[in-house]
Amino acid sequence: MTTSLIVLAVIVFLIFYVVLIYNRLVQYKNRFKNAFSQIDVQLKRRYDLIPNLVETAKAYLKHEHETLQEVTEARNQAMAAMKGASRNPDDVTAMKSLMGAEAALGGALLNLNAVMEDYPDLKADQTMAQLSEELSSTENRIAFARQAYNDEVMVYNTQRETFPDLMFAGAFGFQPAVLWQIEDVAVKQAPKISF
Amino acid sequence: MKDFFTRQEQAKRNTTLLVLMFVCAVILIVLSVYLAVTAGLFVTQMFMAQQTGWFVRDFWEIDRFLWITGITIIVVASGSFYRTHQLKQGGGAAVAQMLAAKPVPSSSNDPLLSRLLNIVEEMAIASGLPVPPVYLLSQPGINAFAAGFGPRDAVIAVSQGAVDLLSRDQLQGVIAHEFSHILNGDISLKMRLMGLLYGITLISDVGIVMMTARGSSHHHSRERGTHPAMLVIGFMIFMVGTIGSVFADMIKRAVSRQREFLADAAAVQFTRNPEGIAGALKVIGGYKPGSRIQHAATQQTSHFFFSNAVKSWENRDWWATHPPLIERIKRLQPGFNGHMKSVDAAKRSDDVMRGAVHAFEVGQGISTGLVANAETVMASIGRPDGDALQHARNILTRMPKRLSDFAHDSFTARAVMYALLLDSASSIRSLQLNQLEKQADANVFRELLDIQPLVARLDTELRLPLLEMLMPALKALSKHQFETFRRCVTSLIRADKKRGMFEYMMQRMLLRHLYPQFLKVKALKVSFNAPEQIIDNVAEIIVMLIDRGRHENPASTFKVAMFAFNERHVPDMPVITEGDIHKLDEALIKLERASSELKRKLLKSCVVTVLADGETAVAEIELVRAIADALDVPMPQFRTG
Repeated sequence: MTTSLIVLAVIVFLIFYVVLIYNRLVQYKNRFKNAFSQIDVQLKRRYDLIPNLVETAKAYLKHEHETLQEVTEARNQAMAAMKGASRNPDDVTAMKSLMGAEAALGGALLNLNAVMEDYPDLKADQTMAQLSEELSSTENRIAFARQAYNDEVMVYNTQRETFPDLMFAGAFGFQPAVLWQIEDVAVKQAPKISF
Repeated sequence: MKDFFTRQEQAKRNTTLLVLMFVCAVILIVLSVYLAVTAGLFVTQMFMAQQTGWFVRDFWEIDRFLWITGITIIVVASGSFYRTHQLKQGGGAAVAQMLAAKPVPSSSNDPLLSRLLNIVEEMAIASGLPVPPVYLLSQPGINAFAAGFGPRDAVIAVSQGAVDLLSRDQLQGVIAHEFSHILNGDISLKMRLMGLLYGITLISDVGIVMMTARGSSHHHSRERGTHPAMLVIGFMIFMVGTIGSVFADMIKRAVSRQREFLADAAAVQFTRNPEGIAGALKVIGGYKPGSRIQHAATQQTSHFFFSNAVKSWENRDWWATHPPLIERIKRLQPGFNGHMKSVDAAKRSDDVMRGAVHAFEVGQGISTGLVANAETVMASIGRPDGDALQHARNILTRMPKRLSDFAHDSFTARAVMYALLLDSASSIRSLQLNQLEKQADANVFRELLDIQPLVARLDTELRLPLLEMLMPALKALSKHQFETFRRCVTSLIRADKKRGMFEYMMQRMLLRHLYPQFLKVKALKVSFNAPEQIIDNVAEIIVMLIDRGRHENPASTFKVAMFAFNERHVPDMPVITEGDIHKLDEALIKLERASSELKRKLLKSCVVTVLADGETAVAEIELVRAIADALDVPMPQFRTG
């Protein structure tokens, strides 16, 4: 009788302990998911700006149709990827595809930037100046939101890999979250884009 | 009519009552568990007697009773302790996350969401609260809730159904109802309730674990005899746990129902529009999904919601957490005939969308005079009315668009805060800017230079509202980002050797509201109950206030103000030199721990001071509101004619 009660008490305590760990991980996971929603808004703002940019550039860049096409396509792909990722910020594949699409978009924009160097009229265009100013400010905000997201991901990942959480994280389906790193040189320069 | 301070005291007493009810429920549960376990053992041994012999002889056995009491109390206490701890850490956001609500970014472009954010913002500014973060529940039912232990960690969550299907006035009614829960201290009571009750509902979880544990160890166990007992006892405990949940529901109902009527009434006073909230209730009544929220955590959070969130079959009038819709509408509109038109969701959401796009054209920002005397100002605390709301709208329309855009984005919100803390004297300002250039992020510094002229020209009356508007965006910073931000803010204040009083108060307010988000903050205990204990500090504050208002006859104002604080004893007027900010700081730290009765007296004497010379400078009102904020008292705007 006594031993079985002790066993029972131990079991109850263990359950509590595990529940505690589980809840803590959930809390950290929610934090980085929330941080992602900040990126989400800024990306949306940028996706809204790009078509205007392309429209304005079209008038000047008659012979650079391909470059513009590339930007539009990259933007559409990134937008689709974002929809997938914002539904599930903890889905590693969705996040990675968004990061890939974003890197491609950054590359395309940089390309456009290089092409525009040859068109001083376009650079002098008032609308263009305004758009590029807004775009670079948005880039700053994206970088900032991304930093917040990475901070939260780091906290979550560290907690996940610390004993004793480490023992249960896998079993409860807590996958490591991905940091949004900027590896591509081209994208690293993105905040400095000036058209 | 009870004022804010009495209501706060009452909320505290209600908490004690709640704990008493909880203890009674636990005693009943312990007895039930004992019964269940004993009965389980008897039943089991009837089948197993041949193999193991009789192991239970008497119904009453002190050893068994002690064990069962001990384990039950451990389970309940650790469950309650754990959940309470978790809620204290996460604040209102923890409840929102439990229900899978997503934060609405403060810079949303969606017209329906920005309408929602505008409503929350104007209500917060009208009632003198920091703007709470807003969450969206992706649920078709029309519902909303406020959660948190106090104004500082409060959040407001609204369902997608409410955003899509309620007109602006109706949504405003709903949000006003939630604000009244925040202002009355109801939310803190509900948080405690949720924490405590978790322990009770855990009992049934333990029962489930016991039943399923048997299944997994069935094959490799030698003592087969104990397992059927586990099964039976597990089942019994599960049943007891279910009874425990019934107790839990009863307690919830006792706490929740009356408060809904009060919140409805306060919402009408706030919006001055019974049509709004009554209209929202009618839409819920005529809408097929009603106010249902389908989520695993709805049961434990049901008492937070605007209207019944759980399934309708549990919604018998006498059992539900909320009073029936028709009764609520009738109290708002006595002539209501009880008929609710059915709602065509698609058509209605089109109408609402069209309304949202044109929302800013009508009825916005008519300035009203907030003529006041000390009595009405004191009565308005925690119970703002239609004038306060009109005034808040007026303030928001006067706020430059570019500035409010900046304030709503975490990236630029920091720049706005830095700009608010810049000194008006150019020598100090350039010193501050130099320091910031070194410490702050280069991009933020550029934004600061951009926004600074706009902030410098800002009407002084708009400065505190602007600070309140910054809160949700700043709460979205990561901990790391917050640390940098805090360093910059602190060094901005220190650059000015003399430290302006208002800048100091703003910094204090800012950090006080942000700390719970990023650091562990201990709850304060009341340690001063007698006026004599704090009278010197009160005198210092009054002198600073008089100084700021440039009163003609400081000595007589001081006497009148101190008389309002304590009729029996008026101390000598202390001498405070400019720059004695640390005295204000010490005083506020102490006064924070005063009883609500003393806080009421203190604020009354502050208001009396401000109103004493018949003309009120914005500077004085600002300071009083900042002091009120430091004491966790939400004070709406006021002004004399």
